[in-house]
Amino acid sequence: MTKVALRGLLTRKLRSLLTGFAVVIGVAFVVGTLVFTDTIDESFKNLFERTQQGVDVSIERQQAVKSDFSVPPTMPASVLDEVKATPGVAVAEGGVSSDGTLLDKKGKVIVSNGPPTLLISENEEKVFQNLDYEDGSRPTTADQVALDRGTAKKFDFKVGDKVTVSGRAPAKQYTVSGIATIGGQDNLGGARMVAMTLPEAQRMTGHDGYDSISVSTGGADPDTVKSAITQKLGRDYLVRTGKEAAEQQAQDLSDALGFLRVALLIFAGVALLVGGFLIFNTFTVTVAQRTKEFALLRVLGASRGQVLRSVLVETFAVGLIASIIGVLVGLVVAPALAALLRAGGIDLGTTGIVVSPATVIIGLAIGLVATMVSGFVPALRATRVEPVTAMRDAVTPGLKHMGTIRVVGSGLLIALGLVVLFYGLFGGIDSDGTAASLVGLGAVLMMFAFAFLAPLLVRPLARVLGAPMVKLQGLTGVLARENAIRQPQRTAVTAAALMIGLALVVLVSVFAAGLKASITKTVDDQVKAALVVQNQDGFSPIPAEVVTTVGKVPGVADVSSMRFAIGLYKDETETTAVNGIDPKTFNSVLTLKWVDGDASRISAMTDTQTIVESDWAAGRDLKIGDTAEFTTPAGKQASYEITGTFSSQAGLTADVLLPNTSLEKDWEAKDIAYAMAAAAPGTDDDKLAKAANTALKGFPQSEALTKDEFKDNATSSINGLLGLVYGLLLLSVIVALLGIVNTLALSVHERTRELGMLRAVGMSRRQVRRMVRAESVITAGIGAILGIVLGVVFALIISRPLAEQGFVFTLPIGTLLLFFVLAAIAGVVAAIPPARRASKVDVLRAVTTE
Amino acid sequence: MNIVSTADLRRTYGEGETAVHALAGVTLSFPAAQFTAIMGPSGSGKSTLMHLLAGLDKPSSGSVVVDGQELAGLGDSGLTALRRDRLGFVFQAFNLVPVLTAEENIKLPLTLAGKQVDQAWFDKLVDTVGLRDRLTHRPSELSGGQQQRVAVARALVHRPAVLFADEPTGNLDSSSSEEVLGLLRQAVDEFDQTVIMVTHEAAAASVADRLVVLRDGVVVHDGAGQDAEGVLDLMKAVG
Repeated sequence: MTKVALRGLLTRKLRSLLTGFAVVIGVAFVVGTLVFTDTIDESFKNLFERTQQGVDVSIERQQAVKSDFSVPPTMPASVLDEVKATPGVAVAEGGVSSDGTLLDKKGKVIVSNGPPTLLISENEEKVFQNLDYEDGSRPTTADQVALDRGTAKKFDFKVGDKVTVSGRAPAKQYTVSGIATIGGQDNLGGARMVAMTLPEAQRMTGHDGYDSISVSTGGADPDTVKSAITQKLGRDYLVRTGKEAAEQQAQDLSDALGFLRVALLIFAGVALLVGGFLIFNTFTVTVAQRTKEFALLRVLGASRGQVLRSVLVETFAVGLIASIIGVLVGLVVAPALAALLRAGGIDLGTTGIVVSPATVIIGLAIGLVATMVSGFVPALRATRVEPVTAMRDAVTPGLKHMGTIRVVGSGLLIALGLVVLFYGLFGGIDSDGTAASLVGLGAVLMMFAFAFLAPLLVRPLARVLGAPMVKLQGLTGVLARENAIRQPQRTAVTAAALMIGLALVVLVSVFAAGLKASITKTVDDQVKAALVVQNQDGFSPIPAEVVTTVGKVPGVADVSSMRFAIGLYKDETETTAVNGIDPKTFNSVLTLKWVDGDASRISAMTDTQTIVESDWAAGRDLKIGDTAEFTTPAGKQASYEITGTFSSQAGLTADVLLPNTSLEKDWEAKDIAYAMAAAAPGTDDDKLAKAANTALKGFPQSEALTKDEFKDNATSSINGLLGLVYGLLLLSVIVALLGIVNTLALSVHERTRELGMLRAVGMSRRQVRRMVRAESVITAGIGAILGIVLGVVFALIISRPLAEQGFVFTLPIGTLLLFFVLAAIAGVVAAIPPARRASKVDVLRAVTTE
Repeated sequence: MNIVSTADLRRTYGEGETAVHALAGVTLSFPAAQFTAIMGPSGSGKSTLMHLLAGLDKPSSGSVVVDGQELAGLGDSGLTALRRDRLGFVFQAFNLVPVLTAEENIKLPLTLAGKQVDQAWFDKLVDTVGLRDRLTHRPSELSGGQQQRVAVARALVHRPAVLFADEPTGNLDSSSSEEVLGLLRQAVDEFDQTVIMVTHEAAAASVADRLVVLRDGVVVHDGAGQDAEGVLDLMKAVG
């Protein structure tokens, strides 16, 4: 029986290939993701090991509040003396490191959504020098910097070139003294590195002291020295051996980038889900077409079990071969993913690939399980073939009367899906991960429900979609429509595969449209300022001097700066975001949506008072007059009296507002996140922005935007992300299109005789092609309609909790129509191979009775 | 006038020693308004002859002229147009498009050509085949005999130059067979159609005006029609 199965597989090569292809894509995506993220982890591990080379003990200040990508606060210079005086310390040196800004040769700021530009101090002590100069040498004067090879290559900097860098201090021109690699890598995980002498780095970063101290014990046991230093410095300092520090740094980064792995795996999962539909459909059709063969086997004495095994063996073989190919393709996908992220502005600068045995096993297992699960129902159907069928003329069974079962079944599934979805959204689940998983599960259940219901929708939808075809192409249109309806289940599953990909695309685009609308609305409603001054990348801090500079621009009435910090409320583990504000000027640039209080509460705010978001307060049982207690990044416990509550709109402000003075004192937040400037009456915004930008020449990382530019900026960054998500979902859509190709090819094969007869009575090849094409467009259209409806429903539900935060639900009608048209075009493209095949049907063979 | 004629028609499958000569030089003429039955044992080449006459297959040598048109010079689109406009077909099975109604099936050649339906002719045909009350039914809702009657109507709807029938009664019971054969006879007698039918059934052949018998790819008998017994005797004689 196994032989029968495998021979069958070989005789249906094309079909097996198409089926397998769906698995290949899904597995390749999963493997690619794992390889890609493993590569990132591995290269960071190597990198940190290299940067900690020669460092026996490493000292930083404790981070009282730790979050992804957060850095420890700067320690006073005096700590170095204490360390040096500790027994066992042979050599000790302090260093600084901070985000900065680098200008390219044309004087334009280098901006990226990914890794930052790092300003670091090059070590004096030979033992700690971990940069390998490929060209030139280390910076030795205050006018020299060294660059990493990656940045030098990308922006064409050579030794001796001039380069402009800015940090907290104004921009300054340096000479490139050397080009370096780090542990053989071009750069620190895609970050641009600028190395300076220690005093210059301290001046440029504004870090008065050291961010870390490296210790060499000169052969003494690092652990002993570590405990000695720990004892001396106390619990405010984090003292680790170099090895521990490297491991921890790598782990932190790996955790911080964990979202990337999860996000990519979700997209891979979607592609696999779509592939599962394709496999299910192909095997169902194959089994239906082989009814006679199975019946014959049964007549010859094969048991049901043997027939089942035969089909399952075939399924397994397809799954195994496809999974192996998928794993291999995945190795190619990994660099492609890196390239895609780079295109989306996230350059992690990884090279090479790391393939762990676990990746290969997971890839194979996922591919096999997906194939077997999808192929099991069709295999069961094969066992139900009655032996007597062999004697009868084969009749392809139509849709059985399962209408009621389908309606009830899908109704139950939708209900279940909704319950899970709503529980995930509103169930008050603490863990974001669990809540998101529930939302995902609910969505998947609803997708299955739609797919299950779809056969009943095929007829009405095909009638609507077929109407223009009938009008345009007459008989071939009618035939296309009727052919699509003929096997509603087959058409439905094919369309459902497209539906899944499209539903997610629609969900994302509706969401993005809503976000853009809410940002626009919030800015229009609440921002009174004429200008927003921020870092060009939109999130990095700007120097404090920028605020005073903008304040001096004629036509600027008031400048108000905002600081940003994260802290821990009481004994919570999730951090709370805090904004520092200037109570005196705040009211002239922003209007809060007050729940309790008014603008006067802001202007009257003292250093021990706070104004908080109303939901944030409600969630913690806080009301006006209560005291909110925080742990700050500086390790301080600070309490503030709540004097007002507001409702946060579109994340314009953080949940907790404190005066900038408190933020500087208690939270050590030295940097300005952004500033807003109010214009004097009668001033033209555009001209004012121009004047401000001229004044800001010395701070190239900062830019002054008018309100409109600010909105455009925010919406265009959403578009960038949207492009990335579309790119990742495209794979699922491609799998679904393969499904259309496959289904049509099977249908054409099945209707060979009918096509031959049509050709015999005078249908031209062109008419045959048009007929197949129209059927494809109808199928794609059904998928598009289902997908768009489902996507909009998802967006409606999932955006509910955000409505209070100013989320404006908007239907991007134009975009949705575009998706529909694209789906139709995709249908035309998918029809090309089957249409060709159909038009080449040998009339003679088709009409000759066997 | 001859509607269909062939000259030294040959069709060979394979090459060299294994070559099979399905047709080994057939020269025949079919005048208008005549009902010809082509008979012969399995492998005699009768189906091959019909496929060549209808332009469904290409001869190895020799020529076929249908309605004044030499088939050898026609490409796929020319042949398609010829079939659509000048020929009618009735097959043994797979005759109708399952997703179209009886009426749509009958009108198929005209619809494909984008031509107007001659309503009077259509009505006459429908009444002749007796399917007035079945026009909105799909093939799956019709009996085998009814389906074949629809096929005959379809083959005549565009008044073809010649109607080819390939074992039209092969799948039918005897009373349905009689109906279908009666229709073909009527087409010749009343509508002056030319019918060429391939069959291996003596009863079917007996309705024809002319009987052509093939054997091993050559014509072994070409004469006037016979009754069923005569046909059987003839077959025995030449077989």
